[in-house]
Order: sequence, then structure tokens, then C-alpha cells
Amino acid sequence: MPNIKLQSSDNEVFPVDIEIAKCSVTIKTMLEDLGVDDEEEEVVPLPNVNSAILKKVIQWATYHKDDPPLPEDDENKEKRTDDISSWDADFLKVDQGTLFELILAANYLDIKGLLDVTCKTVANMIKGKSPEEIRKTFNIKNDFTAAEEDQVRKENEWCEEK
Amino acid sequence: MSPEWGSLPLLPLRCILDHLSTEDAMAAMSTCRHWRSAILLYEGRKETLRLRAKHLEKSLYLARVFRKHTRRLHLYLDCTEEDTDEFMNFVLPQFFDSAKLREIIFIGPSYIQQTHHMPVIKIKRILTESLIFKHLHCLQRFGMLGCEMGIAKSDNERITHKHLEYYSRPLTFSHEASPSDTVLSRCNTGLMVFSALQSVIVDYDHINTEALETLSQLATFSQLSLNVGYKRQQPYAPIDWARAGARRLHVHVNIISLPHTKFDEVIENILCEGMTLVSLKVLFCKSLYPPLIEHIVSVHKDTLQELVWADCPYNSTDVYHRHHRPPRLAQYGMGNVNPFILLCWQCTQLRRLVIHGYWIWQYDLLGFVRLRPSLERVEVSAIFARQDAFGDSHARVLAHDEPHRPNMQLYQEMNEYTKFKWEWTPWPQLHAGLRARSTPQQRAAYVVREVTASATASAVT
Repeated sequence: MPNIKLQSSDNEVFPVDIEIAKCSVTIKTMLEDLGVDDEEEEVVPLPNVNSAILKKVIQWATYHKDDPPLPEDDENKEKRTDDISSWDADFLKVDQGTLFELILAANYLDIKGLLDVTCKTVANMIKGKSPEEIRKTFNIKNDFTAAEEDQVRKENEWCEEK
Repeated sequence: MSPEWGSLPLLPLRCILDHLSTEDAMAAMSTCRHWRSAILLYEGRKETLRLRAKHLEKSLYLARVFRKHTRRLHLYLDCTEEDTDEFMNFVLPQFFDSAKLREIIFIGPSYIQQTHHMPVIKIKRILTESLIFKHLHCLQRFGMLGCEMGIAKSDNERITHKHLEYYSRPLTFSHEASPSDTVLSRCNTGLMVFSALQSVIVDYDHINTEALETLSQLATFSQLSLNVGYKRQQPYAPIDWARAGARRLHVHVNIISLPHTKFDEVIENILCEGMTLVSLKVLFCKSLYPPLIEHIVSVHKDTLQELVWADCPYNSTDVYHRHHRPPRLAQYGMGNVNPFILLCWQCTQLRRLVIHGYWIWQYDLLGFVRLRPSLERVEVSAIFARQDAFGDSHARVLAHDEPHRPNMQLYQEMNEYTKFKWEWTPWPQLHAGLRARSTPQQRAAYVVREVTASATASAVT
């Protein structure tokens, strides 16, 4: 199996099986655009991902390399969040900083499965909480002006009406 | 360093929101400006979206947030005709690309205010037709309550309309404005093969035999709800059911706020032989009229699946009840036989029986379920135990009455005969419109709920 080399933002190089790397749509497109030659081993720079996160991403992609493609979204139903596999749940037992970086990396590398499962994890942290509790959980600063806050409250009331 | 959740890119943010209920997503979008901005991408979920023309800004906002997943769209036209025009101009196009609408219902002011003194609102023809046309493959139900189709106003509209009608020439149109015009004139017959429309809800004044003949060309059209009530000048014109394709057309008749003195006319001209009557709802007519039930039993006993007779408790100090003397039941020679007993005995298809606003003797109630095992739902709110409590008449529930929970023995006996789990409908859990001193708006809400209820439509096979 041919390998390619992925270079993290802090210049660490990871040799990865090309098929595994291709679960990232970003890398896949990059390789197609470059027209990779099997002979010489390309180094793909990923300036938005640091080595710790890249290691996690590769670990996730290696485990999920044989997964069937994700089913088309059934738009009629609210998406489930209780179907995270136990391996993924263990994999995502990380601090909030890592989870946040993983989401950014999944977004940048365009790995739908990883984005999905990390977003589900965040969604589970939001469920049933008030805006104030959510701010506390994620350390978000309330930057609404008083007028905006009124507007938000009004719009939310509209949406809650039966 | 703590992560900057407040600056999470919109794509993952949207992905997170997609995994939340509308309530949780709204809470998340109320945390900071950046997360709020996700509302522009957010597609909320609301099965039934109710928009009021009076609140244009609100309606536009709700339309934007929920249009993608809305299945049932109820538009309350509760303002002047000019404002209604503006509302339709701005709000209806929002739903042109929603592609999942199964139900569109326009509700005019006479229904919202529950009075006869409101004008029949004219709705914008071209916009409505476009909306129907764009949802041809998924729209199953279309309703116009207390409103009718307007005529094309500007030259521009008229030209477009003429052009479209050219393609639909083979169809016959009625002379009065009716839903069949709207449902069919926008498209030619060839296209209507793909129509999913099953059900039309309309006031009796706005439908006639020709209109039904036109509608019957739709392959899936099978349910017709006719609302009888409110002010009308002329006598009810009978429909020729043989021509209207009655055999496969299931008819639901809703009699709303009609004085009992008009019931004989309804019996003669509307509930005539030949129609396939599956459901009869008598809402807020202020009296029980046994001859109507007798008529149903003798003519429609093989098809009737549902009967609702609902009134709010009688309140002598309320203007709503003034000038009203309910008919004395003895004069119909019913003696003390409950007319609903007759109904349950004879109507072999009966599945849902709802009686509110009248006291029912508990042994009559037992009689209902013993006589008619096909019942799947029995909703009764006032049950009394002693037979002689009201003499030989069927008493209205009065505003100060407080019906009690029936005894356990009745529960047991009832459930011995029912396939479903029967429960008494507790007084405080009744719809607001059915409670003592209800407002016209609350009663109207109940009317709209019953008239647009889809349970029966799906129960009918």
C-alpha cells in the first residue's frame, strides 16, 4: 500500500496509508489536483492541524477505514445523538479543548463521519440546558446588547408557540 | 488555553444544531451573537405551522426558520383584505421551495371570530395556485374555511392566468369561485396525474356539482369535508352525488354554529341519500337535535364512522346563549331513549363517538360500547349515575356544573367491552373551547382543530 506523508502545523510528519488519508475530502481533492505519483512520496502540509490532533484524526480514520459510506440523511426526522458507538465514545473522552480542535480539524479536512460524531457529542452536552448553562459549559461570553437580547427573546417566544 | 466555542465556524455549528430539538437549538442560539447568526442557516422542525396575517414580521420570521420541514401550513387571515394581500405576497412565496407541504389550509375571519358578521375573505388566486402547483407531488389536503378564491387583479396576472387556463381547457369549471378552480386551473390534466391531493375542506357555499366533477378527475381525490354554517342567504343547493363521483368520495360534514331551526333544511338538502357520509361533526349548535341523528341512522348507517356532537356548557348570563331556547326533546317522541343508543346500534362502521356539553347516563354509555364493538374512541365528559337525575330529557351541561370522575366499576365494565382502553375525559383537560365561559376564539380554535383533524382521514380506508 502506498503511503503519503501528512505534515502537521508544528512540522511533525506522519506517514499514512493513502486510502486512509482519502477519507478526508480535502486531502483527496488535493491529491487529485496535484496528480500524485506513486514513485515519489509527497508531503502534504496541513497548516491548520497540530500534531496531537492529527494523531487523533489518523487514529479515528484508521479505525473507521472499512466503514460503509454514511447513509443519506433522512431529513424528516430529528437526527439521533444516542447512536455513538462505544469505540467513538471512548475515543471522544477528551477535554473540551481537544474536542473543539477535533471539530475544527474534521471541518477543515472535511471528514463527514468525524464531524458528525463530534457534533453529536457537543449536542449531547447542550441538551436540556438553558442559554446561561450553555454559556457556562462552553465558556461563551454573552455579547448581546440589551436590544438584541430583547429581540432574541421575542423571536424565541415566536418559535415556541404551538 | 480554553477553546473559543464562541467562534466555532458556522458549518460545524449548524451540524450541532441539526442534532438538537428546536427547543435546545433555540437555547444554543441564544448564547451569543455568533451562535445567533447560525439561525440564518438553521432549519427548524415544526409539523404544523400556524401563521397569522395580523403579525407579518413574526410570520415571515417563522416561515424562514421552519419552512423546510413544515408539513401542515395553517394560515389565519385575521385582518383587512389589504393586509391579507400583503401577507400572502410576502409569506406564500417563502414556501415555494419547501417541497414537503402536505396540507395547506386558509382560515378566514368568520372562523377565527366565530361570528356571521365577518366578510368572506378573497385569497390571492395566482399565488395560491402557484403554491399548490409547486407542491403537486406532496400536497394531500387543501382547505379554505371562511374564504374564497379571488379573481386575478392586475393585467399581468390576468394574462398569465389566461395563458394557463388555455392548457386546462378540457376541464369543466364551475361558475362560482371554488377550490376546484384553484386546484386544477393552474395545471393541465396531464400534470394532474402526478397530483397527490386526497382531501379538500371547503364551506358548503363554495362547492357545487360541477366543481366536484372537476375535482373527481384527480386520481387520488377521495375525501371531501363540507362545512355548513355561518350566514348564508339562499337555501342550500343540493349536490348531485351521482355526477360528483360519490362512490369513491368520502364526505365529512361539519355543522358549525347553526341554529337547530335550520337543521331540517340541512337534512333535506345536504345530508341526502347518495353521498358517502363517513363523518358528521355538530359543533357549537347549542342543542341536541334527535331528528338529525335519526336521519343519519336511517340513511347513512352503513358508512358513518365518526360522530362528534360538541357544545360548551350552557351559561344563562352569556350573550352567546341569550335568545336561545333548546328544543324540548319530548316533542320528538324520543321518550327517554338516548338518540346515541340508536346510532351505536345501527351504524355498523362507527369508530369514534364524541359528546361534549350534554349529560350522558352511565348505562347509556355502557350501551354504546356493548352495541358497537367497532368503536375505537369514545369521548364523553359529563357522566351521571342515577337515571332519574334529569327526568326524561337529555340535559345540557350548565356552566356551574362540575362533572365527577365516574366510579371504578364503570371503568371496569366499559373496558370489558372495548378494544381500546377507555378513559373518562376529565373536565379540566377538556379543550378550552368546550369549557364553561369559553370565549369565541377558544370555540373557534376547537372548530378549526376538529375540522382539520387528520385522524379520521387516515382511519378511513
